[in-house]
Amino acid sequence: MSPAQIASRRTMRRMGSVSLIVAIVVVAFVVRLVDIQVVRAAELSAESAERRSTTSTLWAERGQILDRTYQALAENADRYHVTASPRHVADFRRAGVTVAVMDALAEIEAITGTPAAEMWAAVSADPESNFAYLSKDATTEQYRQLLDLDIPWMYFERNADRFYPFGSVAGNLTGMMGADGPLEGVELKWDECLQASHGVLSYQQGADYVKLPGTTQVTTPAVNGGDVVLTIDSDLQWFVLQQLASTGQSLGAQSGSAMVVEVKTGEILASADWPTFDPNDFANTPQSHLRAATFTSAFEPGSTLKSITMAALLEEGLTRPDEAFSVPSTYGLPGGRYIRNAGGGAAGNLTSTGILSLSSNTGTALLAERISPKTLNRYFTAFGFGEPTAVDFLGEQSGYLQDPEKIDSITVHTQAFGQGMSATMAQMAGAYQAIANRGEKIPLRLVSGCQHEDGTFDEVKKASPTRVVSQRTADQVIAMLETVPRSGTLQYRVDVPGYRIAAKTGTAEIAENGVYTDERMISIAGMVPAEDPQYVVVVAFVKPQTNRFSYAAAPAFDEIITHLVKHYRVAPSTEEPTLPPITW
Amino acid sequence: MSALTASIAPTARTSPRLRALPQARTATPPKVSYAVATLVGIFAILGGQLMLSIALGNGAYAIQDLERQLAERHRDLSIVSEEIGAMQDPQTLASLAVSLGMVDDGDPAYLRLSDAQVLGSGEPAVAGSTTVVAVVPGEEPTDISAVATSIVGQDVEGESLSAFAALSEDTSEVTAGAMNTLEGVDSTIPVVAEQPAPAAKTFGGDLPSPTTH
Repeated sequence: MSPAQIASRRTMRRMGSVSLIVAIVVVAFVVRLVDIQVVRAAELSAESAERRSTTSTLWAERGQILDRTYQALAENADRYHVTASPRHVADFRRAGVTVAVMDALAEIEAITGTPAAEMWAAVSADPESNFAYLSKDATTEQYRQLLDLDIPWMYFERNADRFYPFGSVAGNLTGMMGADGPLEGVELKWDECLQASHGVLSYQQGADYVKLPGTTQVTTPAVNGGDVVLTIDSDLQWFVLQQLASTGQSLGAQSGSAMVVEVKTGEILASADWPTFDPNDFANTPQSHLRAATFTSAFEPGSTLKSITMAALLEEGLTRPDEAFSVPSTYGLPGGRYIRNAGGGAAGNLTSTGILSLSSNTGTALLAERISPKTLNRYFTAFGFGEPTAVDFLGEQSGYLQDPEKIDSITVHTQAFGQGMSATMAQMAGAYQAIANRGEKIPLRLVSGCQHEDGTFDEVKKASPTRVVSQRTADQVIAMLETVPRSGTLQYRVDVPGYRIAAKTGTAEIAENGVYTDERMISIAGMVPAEDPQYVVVVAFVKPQTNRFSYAAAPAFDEIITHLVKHYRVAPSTEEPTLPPITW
Repeated sequence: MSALTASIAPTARTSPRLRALPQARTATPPKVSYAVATLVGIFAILGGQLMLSIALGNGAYAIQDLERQLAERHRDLSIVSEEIGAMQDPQTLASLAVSLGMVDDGDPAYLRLSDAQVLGSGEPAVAGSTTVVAVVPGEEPTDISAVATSIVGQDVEGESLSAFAALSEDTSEVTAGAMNTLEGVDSTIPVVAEQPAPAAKTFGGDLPSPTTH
C-alpha cells in the first residue's frame, strides 16, 4: 500500500470519528431540546411563570366616623414600621462616603425619635435574623425623610393606623382601634359597616421588579368600608365637654356627664363625659375613663325624676299644679326611718308646683301615696326607664326598676323621687324629651346610618314616636318646671336673659356596698325655650367635694343652655309666662 | 402506461430524424431587487417587532413611574388631610381663638328695631373671660403655638395670616397692633340715640324674626 493510500485512509478515519462526535453532540442537543421544548414544556413554563409572578395587597380603607356635618371624628392615617435585616446590617457607602451603622441609626433617631441604642439592641439581639423592628408608627413625612437616608438594609412595613382628628372631643362615643381591631364604642358596635377588606393583585415582574405588561390581574377586589354618620354636633360636643371639665374641676368632682337632645327629632347632639381620653393615645388611660358613661353608667337619679312622677300624677288626675298642701318637714317610713328634705324651704304651705319647684322629698312622698306602684311603674316604663334606649350603645345599661308587685315598703315611697331605682343619663334625657315634645316620646338616635362607598345610605330605622302623657299634662309639667329657675332651687343660678327655661335639679345619695354615703351625685335636667322646647339638656356630676347641692351643677347647665340658643340661633322668648303659684 | 407514451413510441420508430435544437436561451440572472425587497421586508418585520416590544417595555416603565407618582400623591393627601383634621379640632381652634384675644360673647342680645330696645343682657363680653381647659387628666391644653407655627410655616397665596404670625411662640400672647380700630366702619353705623337703650329683661311686643347667618 502506497504511503498516499495510507494517508488517505487515516484522513477518512479522522473524518469519520469527527463526524461521529458531531453526530453524537447534535443528537444530545436534539434530545435535550425535545425534552425541554416538548416533554417538560408545560412544567418548565409553569415554573418560569411562578418565578415571575408575584402578588401585592390592594389596600382598602376602613370607613370614617362622621358627625352630623360630615366632619371626620375617626379617619385613617398611613403609618410605617421601620424594619431592618440584622444579617445585612453593616457599614455602607453612600455618595462615596462610608456610613457607620451607629451613624445611620443616629440619623433614624433624629427623624423618628426612637433611641439609637434601642434600635441597636433590636438589631444585635439576633445578628443572624432576617427581620427586626427598628421603629414603629412613623408618619408619612418621617417615612419620606427616612427614604432619603438611602440605607440599604432598612425596610418599611405599611400600617394603616386609625386617626381621631378631634382627639378627646368624641372619644367616648367613637371608641378606638387596638392592634387587633376595634375596642370600644361606635368602632366596635358598627364594625360591620366600617370594616374594609383588602384585595389581592397578581402580576408578573421582570428582573428589575417592573410589572410585565398585560400580566396584572385583580385576584380579589379591595372593598372600602362604609362611613358611620352620627347625630353629634362636634362643636357643641366640645363646648359641653369644656363646661363639664371647668365646672367639674371647680367642684372637685370625680366625674361629670352631659347630654343634649334635639326635642323634635330625638337626635343626640352632644353626649360628653369628663374626664375623658384621647383615642389617639389611650395606653395609659384608666379603664374607667374609656367609656360613654351617659349610656353605660346607671345611677340613682334623685330629684330629676320628680318631674316624671308629677307627670304621672297629673295625667292620672291625682293632683293639679296649684293644689295646696301642708308639707311636713319629715315623712315617716316603716322601721323608724324617715324622709327629710335637703333644705328647710321645701316644707310648709306649698302647692304641687312648689313641691316640684323646691324639690320637696316629703311633699313628693305625700303625693305619691295617691298613685299605685303598678301605675307609677307603668309611667316610668313608658318614659323609657328600665330598658336601654333605642340608641343601643355598646354596653348600654338598662337601669333598674323594682317589680311593682314585690316592691319593698321603703322603695315604694323613695322611688317617686329617684332613690331605690336607677337610670342612665340617656334614659333621663329621653324622658325629658318626651315632656319637652308635649308628651310624645321620640326614641333617641345617635347614629343616622351607614354611608356605603357606592353612595347608598343605610339609614338607621327611626322608631315610631309614642304618646306617653297628654299634651296638656306635658304643658303643665313644663310650666311647673319653669318656676324652678325663677323661684325654685335654681333661682339666681340659671338665667339666660330673654329666654324662658324649664329645669329640675337632682341630688342623689350615692350608695356604696349597700349603704348610702355622704357622697352625692348632683344633676340638672331641663329644656329651652320653655314656650316651645327645642333642646333638652341633662348635666350631672358625681361626687362633688366643694359643694354637694344640686344647684352646684348650674354653671355648666347655664353655659350649655346659653351656648345652645346662640349656636342654633333660637329666637328669644316674646311673652311672659303665666306660671302656677308655688306657695299659698 | 399512459396513452401519451403509447402514441409517441410508434412515431419515434418510423421517422428518426436529426434536427438542430433551437439555441438555448441564456439564463437571465435573478433580479437583485426581489432579494432586496424580501430582505427589507424581513428586516422591517423584525424591526417592527422590536419597536413594538420596546414600546411595550417602555409602557411598563411609564406605568411603573405613574403608579409611583400616584402613591406619592396619596401620601401627600394623607399628610394634608391629617393636618387639616387636626386643625379643625374644636379644641385647637378654640385655643387659637383665645390666644388671639377672642372671647365667648356671653349671653346673647337682640336689638328690637321698633323701639331700639335691647332684648337680652346686652352686656359686652369681658376680655380674658374665656379659657380652654384640658379634658383629659394629665394632659395639657393643646399646644397652640406649635399649631400656629405650622400654619404660619405654610405658603398661603393671597391670604394673610399675620395675626398668627404675631403669636409669640413662647408666651402665646398676641401682639397685633391695629386690631382694635375699625377705621371706615363707624361712619356706616347710624346714630339712633345718644344714650344706649337700657337692657330689658322683660318680654312683650313683636320681635323681628332674626335671620342670622
